[in-house]
Amino acid sequence: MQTENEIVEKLCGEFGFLQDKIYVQRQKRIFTGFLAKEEFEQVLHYAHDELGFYRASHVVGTDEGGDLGFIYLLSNEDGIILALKEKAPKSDPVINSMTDIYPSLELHERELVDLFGAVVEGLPEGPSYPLPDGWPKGNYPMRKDWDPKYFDRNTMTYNPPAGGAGKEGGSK
Amino acid sequence: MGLLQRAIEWGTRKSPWIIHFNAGACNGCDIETIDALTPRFDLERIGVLQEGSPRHADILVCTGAVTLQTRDRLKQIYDQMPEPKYVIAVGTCACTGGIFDGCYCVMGGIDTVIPVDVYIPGCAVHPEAIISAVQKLLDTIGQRKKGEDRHADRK
Repeated sequence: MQTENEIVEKLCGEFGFLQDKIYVQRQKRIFTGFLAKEEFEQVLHYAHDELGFYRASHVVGTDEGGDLGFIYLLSNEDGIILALKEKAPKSDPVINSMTDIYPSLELHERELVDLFGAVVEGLPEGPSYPLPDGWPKGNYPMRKDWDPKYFDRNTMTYNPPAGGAGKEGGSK
Repeated sequence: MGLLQRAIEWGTRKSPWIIHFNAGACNGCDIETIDALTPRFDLERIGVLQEGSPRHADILVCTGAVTLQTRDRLKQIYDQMPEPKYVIAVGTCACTGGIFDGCYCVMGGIDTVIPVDVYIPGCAVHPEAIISAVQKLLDTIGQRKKGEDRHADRK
């Protein structure tokens, strides 16, 4: 069994840019900081091919202000979870699909498309998921500037007041 | 009141057939509803039978907050039920929307879509509470005024 520190050492040995970005958060949890798109994909492929991270458990989307964050949680047979993060600007939120090596990520990446408005390149064609039928285009409910209290559920339209929505916070 | 009407009400009071609908619950209230129907608590003691089709049912037992995806289906099921029909909202989410109220895909409680006769709060509700609610509902059957429009406040 590889320990957390051995995995971190291997990753740092392979990728110099990870040196000050990767850390063992606690037992069985390895976190990284936000990586650039190409770096992220290199590390993910290496973790899958060389380190035995055969399973993708989750994908988490986050709203980082001007950017969207994506956290891919991979796990190996010892139950160690490697959290890899990448970022894409909201103006051009394009990431590459990882379904070619982790087919189970398809639903998770569809959620990123529907709830965060990410553009996932390489994701197979399919129905929208998980938002209901007739959801208006261009509304991404998990973004922080989208406030459900301005969403009219009967007409399915989003009507924010003029002069900036969602500053007050809260719901309904 | 006609003889036929009285006979229907007598039959409903003695053996109401219920249909259970999950409008978007977390399944906690569904488990308790099934618990109330099965022999440990045994709603069948007061004549309640679970029915598979809304066309044969007298009482609609709804759990969970209404989501945008189930809203039209809930309306459809309610419309398919023959008169006289009654609705029980089981659980806090079914009563008011509960912790899901204000979520982007949640309408609110069951009464945002169809009229409700009995509300049972609780998260999750006790099977005893469901039995009590059904008994209270059965006690009120026959007291509804003739020609009363239950949808008046919704038009």
